Amino acid sequence: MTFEEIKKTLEDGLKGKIRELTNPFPRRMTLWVDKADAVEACRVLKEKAGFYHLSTITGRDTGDKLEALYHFAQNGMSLTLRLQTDRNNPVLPTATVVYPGAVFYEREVHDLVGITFEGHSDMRPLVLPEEWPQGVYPLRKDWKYNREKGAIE
Amino acid sequence: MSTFILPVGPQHPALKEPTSFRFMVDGETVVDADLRLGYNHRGIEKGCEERTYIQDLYMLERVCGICSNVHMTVFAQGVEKLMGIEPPKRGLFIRCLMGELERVHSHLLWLGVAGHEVGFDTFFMYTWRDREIVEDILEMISGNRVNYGMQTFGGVRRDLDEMQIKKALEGIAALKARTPYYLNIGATEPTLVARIAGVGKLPKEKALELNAAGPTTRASGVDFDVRKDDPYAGFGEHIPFNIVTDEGGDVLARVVVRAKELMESYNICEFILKNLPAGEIRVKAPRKVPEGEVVSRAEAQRGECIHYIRSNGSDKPDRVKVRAPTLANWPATLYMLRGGYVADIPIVMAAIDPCLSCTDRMAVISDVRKGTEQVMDWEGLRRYGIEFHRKRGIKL
Amino acid sequence: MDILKIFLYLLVYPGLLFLFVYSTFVEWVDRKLYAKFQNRMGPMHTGSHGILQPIADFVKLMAKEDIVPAEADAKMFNAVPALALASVLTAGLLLPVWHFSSAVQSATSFQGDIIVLAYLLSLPTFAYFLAGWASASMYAAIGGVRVLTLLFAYEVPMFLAILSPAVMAGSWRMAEIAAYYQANPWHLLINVFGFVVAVICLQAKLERVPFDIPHAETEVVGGAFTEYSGRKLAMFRLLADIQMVVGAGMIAALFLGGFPGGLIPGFLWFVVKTLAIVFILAAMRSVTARIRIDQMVSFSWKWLAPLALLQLVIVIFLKGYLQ
Repeated sequence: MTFEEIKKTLEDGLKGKIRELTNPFPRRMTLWVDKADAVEACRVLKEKAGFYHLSTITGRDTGDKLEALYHFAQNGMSLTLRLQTDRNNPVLPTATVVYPGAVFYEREVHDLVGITFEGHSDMRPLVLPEEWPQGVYPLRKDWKYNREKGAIE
Repeated sequence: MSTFILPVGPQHPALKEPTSFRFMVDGETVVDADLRLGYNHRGIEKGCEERTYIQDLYMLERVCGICSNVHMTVFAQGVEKLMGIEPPKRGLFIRCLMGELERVHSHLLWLGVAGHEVGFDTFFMYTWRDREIVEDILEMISGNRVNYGMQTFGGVRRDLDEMQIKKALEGIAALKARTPYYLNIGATEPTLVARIAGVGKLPKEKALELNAAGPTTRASGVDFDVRKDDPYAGFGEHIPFNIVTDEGGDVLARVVVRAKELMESYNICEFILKNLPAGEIRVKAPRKVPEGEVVSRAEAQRGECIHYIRSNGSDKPDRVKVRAPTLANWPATLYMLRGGYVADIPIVMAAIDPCLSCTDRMAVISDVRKGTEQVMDWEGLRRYGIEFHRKRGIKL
Repeated sequence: MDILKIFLYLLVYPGLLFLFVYSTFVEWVDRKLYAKFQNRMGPMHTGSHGILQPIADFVKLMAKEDIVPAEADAKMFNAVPALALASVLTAGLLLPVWHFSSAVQSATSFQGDIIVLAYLLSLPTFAYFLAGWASASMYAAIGGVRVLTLLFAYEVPMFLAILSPAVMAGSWRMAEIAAYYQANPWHLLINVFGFVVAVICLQAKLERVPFDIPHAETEVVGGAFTEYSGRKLAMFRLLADIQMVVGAGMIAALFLGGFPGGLIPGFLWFVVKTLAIVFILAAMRSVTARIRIDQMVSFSWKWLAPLALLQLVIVIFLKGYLQ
């Protein structure tokens, strides 16, 4: 599908819920919706717009908000779905109900950026060790890695 | 017999890299499988934010040994988009050639590993011997056997001369003559087929639902290939190729798909070497990158490789996200393992060609305790280690 | 003098020392052949073309630290390798290569020695199981269970197969069976199916590819030997080599006409025939992949056991016809 076709499908499927829909590069598009509409957006993307593949989820710290970017793909088009959430209460609905393949991506984002995915069956750490301290998320901007002068130097 | 837990990893002969599986086993049958990653975390994503783009390029090459060139390509072409520059055609062709040669060496390596996992070491010895041919070509072109350092922003770093083209063509012709033999062995040798046919079934619906990538999903009949869907580095407009799919959905189908992809890659390499356009190999790239964000994708040997790059106008990126194909294939792997035999665990796991250092790349393990400013001296660390193991019932 | 002779017999020839040296040589041949089949060199550095490599490996393992896991049943863990090694060494004494006359019965050549030999060759399998059990390790336990499952698969076809030449020759003594075939060489052709079954079963008994299921390294690490190290592991490895020699010798005695011609020619025949069987075993392991335990069991009961039975039926009918 071309950008125009997808745009029309999404505008039909998500009436008035689209905050932003752009086409920055050829074969790339960005969709921004409120987090309350996230699951519906996923459903429309999968069932109507033909985005069968979820490539990954990027967690990002914008400074005042936390952002989750879902990268979807279909033949000839790659779409990024942008969701934002508060830093103080970083919760997003899980996409696993629509895309079961998101299981590990959500766990990874939870580990590293600290966004909790509501409805995800299993939020154990995936990539960080068990004894990693609670509430410390390495990919947030306020987390700095200071290498101690240790035995190696 | 009651169920018990069979640990596979972090250290296990079937795994060439550390990861940890917990299999609930009932006799010889796997009831459930769980996965724990993170033994290879090097904090590369965080590290990228603290380094300049050109430093990141070489750091991202070190995400993985086998698919080093792919990560470099993906990052380079993403940053090129943000910079608004377009590499010259000769540069794109050489970029594509490197990707395909890397695919050849990776697939040959995988065929051997698959043979070894089912105890067919002769297959392993033969394919790895032939893999030397492509390694020699790569070394001749780039100077290195593993991390080639060929890509840069705006093109590639080394050119090919007539002599190299001739030698590369000879090597590829030799490989082209050998590969049908492996396809034949892989698809007909009775004990090998007995071990891989019907094992690790992944139906088409499940492959789509679990977002598998690469040869794993193509062997389930999904024609998902970034080279076709989202052409890059000269694919699509300049370089012709075919997608290989198979309807089998089992390990045998994955062997067949990979062996046929080898043939496809030889054809692509020959096409590039014979039709290499004249001209420059790179254009000059600016040091700073304008603000913006981009998703860059490429078809690695194991599937779709995707980078998300966000720039903030400086010479350092604001966020780099790397997703290597192996992570995309884990949900499908766990699905394939459930209900199978213990004996099939290694080959099913190997069938997605897992690359764990690709998968684990973004957390910093070494500073577990320093993260909380809870600095320990060596003695404290030692006591902590003993305590840690005692809690888990291991005597020291 | 007699006591000295017995000691020499037990410890030097054909006992411990000879079997040790010859089995390491056979292992070297096996490794070289395997390497050649795989387009490799194989061992090259220790001795001429690496001929001393198996001995060097053995010495190295003997020098390594010997660890007994804290959870293991130490008594059984320690006793099992020695018992298993003793049983194959005893089996080695029964081979008819050291007896030149079928007329005289002795302590190592008697009616029914073939049964004793087969029994002694089976003991290590139980030892492997006990070793796995005593190790108190997950992988060792799975390996031990697989050893027993495999035993049920190959043992019956093996016994059926070695039955037929004995029935044909009308004797339960290997020296007499060999003598019968030396007198009637054409009768060897009758036992072709039995020979095939016996060789395949020997491969399974030795737990080599495609039947190395109990210690498939990519699945269960080291199988029953996972926890073993140092000299106990060295004993297990040595015993596998000796088992190969004795097993090949048994098949040569029963299916290839034994070792005629007295002291020196008999010994040369022994070397030639065991190496021929080792060649088959090495070829088998280089052209196959490891099969799964359930495939092994069904293969053995669908093909090996019926084939061995067919062989027995052929032998019984032919025996009636020829007389």
